Amino acid sequence: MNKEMMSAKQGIYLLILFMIGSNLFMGLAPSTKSDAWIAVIVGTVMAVPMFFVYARLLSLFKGRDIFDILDLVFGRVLGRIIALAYIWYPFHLGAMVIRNLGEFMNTVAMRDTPMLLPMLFIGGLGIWVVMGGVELLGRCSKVFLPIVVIIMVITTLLIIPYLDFENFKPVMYDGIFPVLNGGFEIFAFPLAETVLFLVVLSSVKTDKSSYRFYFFGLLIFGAIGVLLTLRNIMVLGDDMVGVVYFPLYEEVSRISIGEFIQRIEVSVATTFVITAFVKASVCLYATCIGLSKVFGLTSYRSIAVQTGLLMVLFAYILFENIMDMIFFVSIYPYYALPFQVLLPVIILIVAEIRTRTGLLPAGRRS
Amino acid sequence: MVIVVIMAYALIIYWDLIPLYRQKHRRDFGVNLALTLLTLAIAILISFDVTLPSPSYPIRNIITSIIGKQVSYE
Repeated sequence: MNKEMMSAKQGIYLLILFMIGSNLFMGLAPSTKSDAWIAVIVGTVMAVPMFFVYARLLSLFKGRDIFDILDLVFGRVLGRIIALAYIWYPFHLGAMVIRNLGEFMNTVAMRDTPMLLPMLFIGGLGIWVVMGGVELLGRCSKVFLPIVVIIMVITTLLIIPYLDFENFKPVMYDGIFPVLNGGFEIFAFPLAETVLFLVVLSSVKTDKSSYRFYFFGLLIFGAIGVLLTLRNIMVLGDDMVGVVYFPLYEEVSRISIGEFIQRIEVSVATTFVITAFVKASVCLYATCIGLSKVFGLTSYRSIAVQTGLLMVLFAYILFENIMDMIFFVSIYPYYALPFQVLLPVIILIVAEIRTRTGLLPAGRRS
Repeated sequence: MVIVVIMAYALIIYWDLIPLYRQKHRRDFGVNLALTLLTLAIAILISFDVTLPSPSYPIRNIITSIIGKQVSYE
């Protein structure tokens, strides 16, 4: 069977779009208010050791994804039981991303449209992309990342007259612990979710080290995250940042230059839809790959449609309202900890032991 | 609404499920059929406005009981 491949550049672009995801629009660490920008830096630093773990797993088993690695390291039975966790996690995450978009459309952008409709469209696009294969996902990211970056640069330039540096004060008024907590939220919400790239990055056709992918992506995310969080705080002020559900949208909606350039918040909505679509597609792809490997199917494409539909329907029944969603987001770091930290660390330790004792053939590209 | 759901599923089965049967990919067909029946059941229940239990609440209860975080919407 021909293995699908994407280029190194596409892999990095996809990683960056995935990390930007839906999180930036919901505001990074809103509970830390005016210290959110420090929390972004703390979260980025916290992610470094875990990124080492992910990159080490990929470099140890070149060309293999997490499900192959689990099969190799733990054997067929235990490997498949643990693989169920990595089917459930992207499925649930994808449903949350789709729901997030649905809530955004329902709360802010299109209030009279039933929530299921935008969710079905995003799900349909995700199914289309997954049916097209991982190369299509890579090509999409190559087209979409420049659009997202251009919109961010233009809105940043236009927002300059509204910046108020007084909003930074007081710095760390409540002490260091809220900032550390916020850093942990950022670590769990966009950054350590890249554990799913243990499925995707195995398809990247390059001899470059997987460390390079992860750390380059992290660097770019850190820069974008700090920039946008600084913008949010300076324009909205610390109280508003903690209260508004979608601060970036709120912030850009304030732009009115010469009473001519205004109502450009739709550009932010566009980037939100793009990044949510990419993130949901990656989640759907990881779920389909996992299901096809666990059940021994001939192709993951044969279940893409039904898995995508199940994800959308699951997203619809996931929360009763936006308050439920916001509360779940607050406990999400603890829920995601086993998938993001515990399991990868255990897998790496067992893999290292078995490789060094010569029980595993590591480092081969299949 | 139910009619729309059933018609949509008829098309999906025609385009997605039947080719798998014809290609004799029995395992793929089996998994796909199971998923189709599951999503069809959920879609019909949603179209009848039935409130389905969400798994987020048990997850939330387990996590709050472990970490001791109180239910608050802040």
